[in-house]
Amino acid sequence: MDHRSIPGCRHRGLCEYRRDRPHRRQRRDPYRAEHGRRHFRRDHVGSAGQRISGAPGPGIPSSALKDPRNILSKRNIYFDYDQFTVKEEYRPIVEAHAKYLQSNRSARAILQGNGDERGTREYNIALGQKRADAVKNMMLLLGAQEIQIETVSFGKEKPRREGHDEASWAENRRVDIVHAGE
Amino acid sequence: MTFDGGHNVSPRATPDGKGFVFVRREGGRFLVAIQDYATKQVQVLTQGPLDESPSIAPNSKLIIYAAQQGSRGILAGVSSDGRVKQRLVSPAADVREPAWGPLPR
Repeated sequence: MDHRSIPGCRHRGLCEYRRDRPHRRQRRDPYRAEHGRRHFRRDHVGSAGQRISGAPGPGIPSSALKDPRNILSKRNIYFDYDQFTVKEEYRPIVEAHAKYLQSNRSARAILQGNGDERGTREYNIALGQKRADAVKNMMLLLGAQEIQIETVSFGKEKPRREGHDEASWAENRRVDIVHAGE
Repeated sequence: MTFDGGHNVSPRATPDGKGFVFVRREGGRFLVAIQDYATKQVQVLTQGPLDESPSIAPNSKLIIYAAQQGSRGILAGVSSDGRVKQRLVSPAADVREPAWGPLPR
């Protein structure tokens, strides 16, 4: 192998390439340092086609958001009365959406906080905001970026169910995850 | 300035400089209260359950606020000593965040 066959070599006749050791550009290759093999592909896709952690590459397709079999089609995080702690049972949903945002850096999402009809309008605006912020903070910890997530609170102004019973209240105490373009 | 209760919000200073009104939550009810700067004493002025957005008159005598009746907001008023209470129900209105304008000179 001649030094001219090594991508990126600009040294031509002055190249220090030797057969018994890798070219210095190859030595700098982070993929080689990690995997012990030569690697020049810019997209950093492994031999099995899987993305290597931290490397840029194609993200989760947006069609997954509408696939009812995919967890990304679940968009509601429900809360207990007067609480804004994300319950453990909703962690997989939050995590899936965070990973989607992480793998699609141009994707954007709005988190819409809501409350039930109990409490004043002002109180529920604040509570809805705290709920949206709680989901946002969890997403940020799971890999999404600040610029990708916007939060808004509707308080008790936009109930999904108009009833005055616990079932209706429970349905209204939630955060909706809305992705841009939906 | 307030050290008791878990929810004290929407403070408005009284124009006479003697204290401030605010919304306090007690036992799940949202109430309008007034606190005196000098004595630090709190006087709850309304019965709730969903009173909010207090606004005090330029002469510091009357506080108007938004209350709730059924699913609608209504306008209510209470004197700053709590003795006089009035609910102003309008069949068509949904009152939110009422505020006093300046008194005409």
